[in-house]
Amino acid sequence: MPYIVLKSGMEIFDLAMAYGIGVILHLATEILELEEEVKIENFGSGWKIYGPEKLTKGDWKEIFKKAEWQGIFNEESSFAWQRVFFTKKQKWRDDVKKVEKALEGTIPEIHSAEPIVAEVGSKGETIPGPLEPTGFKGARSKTRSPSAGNIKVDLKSWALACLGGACAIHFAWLADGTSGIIFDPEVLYIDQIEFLQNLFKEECRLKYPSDLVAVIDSSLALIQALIKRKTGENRFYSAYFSTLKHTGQQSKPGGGGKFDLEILNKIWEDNPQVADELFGMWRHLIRQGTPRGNEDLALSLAEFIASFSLSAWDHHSRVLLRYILHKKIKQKNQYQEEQIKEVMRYVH
Amino acid sequence: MSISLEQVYSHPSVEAFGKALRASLRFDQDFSSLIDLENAETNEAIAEALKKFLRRNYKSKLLPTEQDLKDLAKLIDEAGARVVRTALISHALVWDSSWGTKKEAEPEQTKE
Repeated sequence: MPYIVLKSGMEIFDLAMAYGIGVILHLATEILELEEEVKIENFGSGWKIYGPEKLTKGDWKEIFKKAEWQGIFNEESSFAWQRVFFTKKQKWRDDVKKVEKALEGTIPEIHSAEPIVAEVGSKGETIPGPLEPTGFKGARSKTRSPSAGNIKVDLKSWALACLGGACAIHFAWLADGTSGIIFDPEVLYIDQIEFLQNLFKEECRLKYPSDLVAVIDSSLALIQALIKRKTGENRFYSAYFSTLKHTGQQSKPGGGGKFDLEILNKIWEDNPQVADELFGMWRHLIRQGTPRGNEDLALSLAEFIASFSLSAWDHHSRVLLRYILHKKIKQKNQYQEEQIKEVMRYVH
Repeated sequence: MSISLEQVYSHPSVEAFGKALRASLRFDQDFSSLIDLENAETNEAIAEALKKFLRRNYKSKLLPTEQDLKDLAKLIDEAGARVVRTALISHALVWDSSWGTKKEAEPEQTKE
């Protein structure tokens, strides 16, 4: 029987919890040398996490002693702890220790028969901003005191989501802030998570003009990797993103949203070769539209890919045509007849 | 039922005008026709923009036929100026495979 995480309405937080359980189970299989593969499956109202089911308290005790376990909470870890706890400034290490302690206290009590759902209330731990765009104090209503207005959840959910967020959220740089992006899987084998971390680190390290451009570039990079079968049989439904704008004093919430991968997946299914070329070309246009002065190219393309609407295509085609006529786009990065016909199929 | 952009894009008359527009923009720098077309919001305005385009490019080898013009006028009435205009501009974005890897500056395709 799989472990189950139910959705509570906080999309990024809930998804991070599912990733958190997946990472822990994957680590358990590696440490205990078990054969089970850990995978996350979306079933609409939540996620099922398949993995070792009958771990005893003794097994967990053994796991918590190992260097592999302790290593994920170290400063050298590839996990983005500092980004998750960025509002804590220098004190982020304290919260990482708190996560480790909380997980060691609560994980042995988790059973696959009992669905996990975040208990939101006035008591418990404060949700870090990057895990919930409305989690920031003042984002939902006026606050007068430093402690008022925070969203709090139970310790177990908080620790799981912080761990999942630190390993699965890709933080992209924006011209005026950062955006945390997390992909909602249809099916994901957790052993691919390191590959995904490296993919985003290597392929998506631009300073994007907007969060939408960042999420679309990451999605295109991800689907291109899927087309090339670099990530096995994994599939993704959508991407959630939460943005922080840098101001003079401190970062402020800059909104968030969901980008549906349905049309990109359909283009891929219809013709993988055309999809690969098309997505590569779009990624090139985004790269070309990232430097200051060229933002209209990346912004108009991102607006179109996010909606596939006639008005967005009309806008993007005019902008792109000017770049082509000014000879700023090389021939290999211009639409071919087959590619544009594929795009036209989805414009509504 | 409204006609989709995909259907309009693949319509023979739009293809004929689109290819002619593509060549005139890239080889003859006919930006006036592009501005006329982009600003055409009504059926009458797009018809006027296309007439001007034909007058400016009367020497082009790729000039659409009279039948293309009639078919396009009918299509504009059916689909609306906005969709036809977008489809024509979309054609201009495409790198024509018949151009090969030649440099765009070579105007061999359009001029007699």
